[in-house]
Amino acid sequence: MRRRKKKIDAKLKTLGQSLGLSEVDALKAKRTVKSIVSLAIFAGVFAILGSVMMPGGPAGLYYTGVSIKDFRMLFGGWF
Amino acid sequence: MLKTKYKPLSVVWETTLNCNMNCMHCGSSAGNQRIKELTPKEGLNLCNDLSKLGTRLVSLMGGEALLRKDWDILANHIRDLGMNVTLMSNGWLINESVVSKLVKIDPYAVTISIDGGNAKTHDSIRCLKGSFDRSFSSLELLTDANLPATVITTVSKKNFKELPVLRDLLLNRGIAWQIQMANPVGRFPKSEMLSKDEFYSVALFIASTRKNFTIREMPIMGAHNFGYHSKILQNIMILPWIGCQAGLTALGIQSDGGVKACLSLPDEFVEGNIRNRSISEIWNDPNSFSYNRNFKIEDLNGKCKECKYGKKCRGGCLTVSTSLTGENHCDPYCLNLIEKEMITA
Repeated sequence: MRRRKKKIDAKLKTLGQSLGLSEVDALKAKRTVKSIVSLAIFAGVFAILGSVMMPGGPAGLYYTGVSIKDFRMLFGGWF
Repeated sequence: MLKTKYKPLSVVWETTLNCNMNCMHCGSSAGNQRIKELTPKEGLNLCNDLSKLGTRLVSLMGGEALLRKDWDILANHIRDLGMNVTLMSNGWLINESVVSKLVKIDPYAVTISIDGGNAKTHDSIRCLKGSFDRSFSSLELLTDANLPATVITTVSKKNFKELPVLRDLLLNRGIAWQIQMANPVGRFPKSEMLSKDEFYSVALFIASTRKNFTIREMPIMGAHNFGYHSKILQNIMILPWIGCQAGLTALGIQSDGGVKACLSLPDEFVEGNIRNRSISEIWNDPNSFSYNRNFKIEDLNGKCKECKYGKKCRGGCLTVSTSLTGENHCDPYCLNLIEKEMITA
């Protein structure tokens, strides 16, 4: 497990370099419990509100160019 | 006529193939208009039919959508029918007059393509000198008028390293940013496509941007071909990937009336033409879009066959899958798959 983590971290650092990411930034991009929980919440919000309120439904967001309105709707208070 | 349980919520309409640019990554090889593009009357009728089918969002694209003389008539008609409209443009023709029309139309988004962090890269990709500056002038006009502006960046070997520079140019401007990968379709040569490592670097960049900037500072996301199911990175789309929606909730219409589930799919995927059969007939035909509507887990190919997300994911982006492997439902540009390879390497 530890070896696997080391291998992943090393790879992330290398891949990040090509886009100017520092080692810290590359590792910070990893998912955390907080980001997993946030995604679950957004998925829940989307299931309840998004498919009704977002005009393109789940497809619109991906196929036609996201709108700043999608971010406002989904991230509301954080925006 | 039987109705399907599906609704084309999001329709992308190539209103013309006529284009004033000659982008190296253009999937539809735009330039000249198609023979017999839809007339203004046919265009308006199409809008009426889409409204009856339950469409909520129509995205007008090209070629260059603004080269179609009746673009604003179509956009206004879509709004009058109660649907939302997005205008997808390369930004060259956006001026005060277009912006004042857009203010009246009240679009859901106006997307401008920017494919580099400087004029040299962007202009060479788009084969039009001055286009980088014109795109930024357009963005300024749009944001000054409080219109919802989005930048779409199509990444390839030529420009992916410039993403951090472009991010600096877009920060704190209230502009959404969508990053998508160029596929070897249309004019785009396979040799310029990102390698899997480069693809993963871009995903890492998006995830890192999400972490280091607030959504207000930089509302960024990876498009439908930037995923999926990463076990290492946080989600780089806004929402979890729920599988290709082509023919389920998404629909594409070519400027000559050809109907495909997604416009980026090759022409073998044309299901019919609205001049021969109404859009409603094509959409409700039980044989239409069967690769997605009648998908079974046995339809997965390649490494997607072994994936536990296969049923939900349906093998990622159908266009990437077919253009790279010749088969449906096995998009090899998958974060989950790349991570497995990363660990076992």
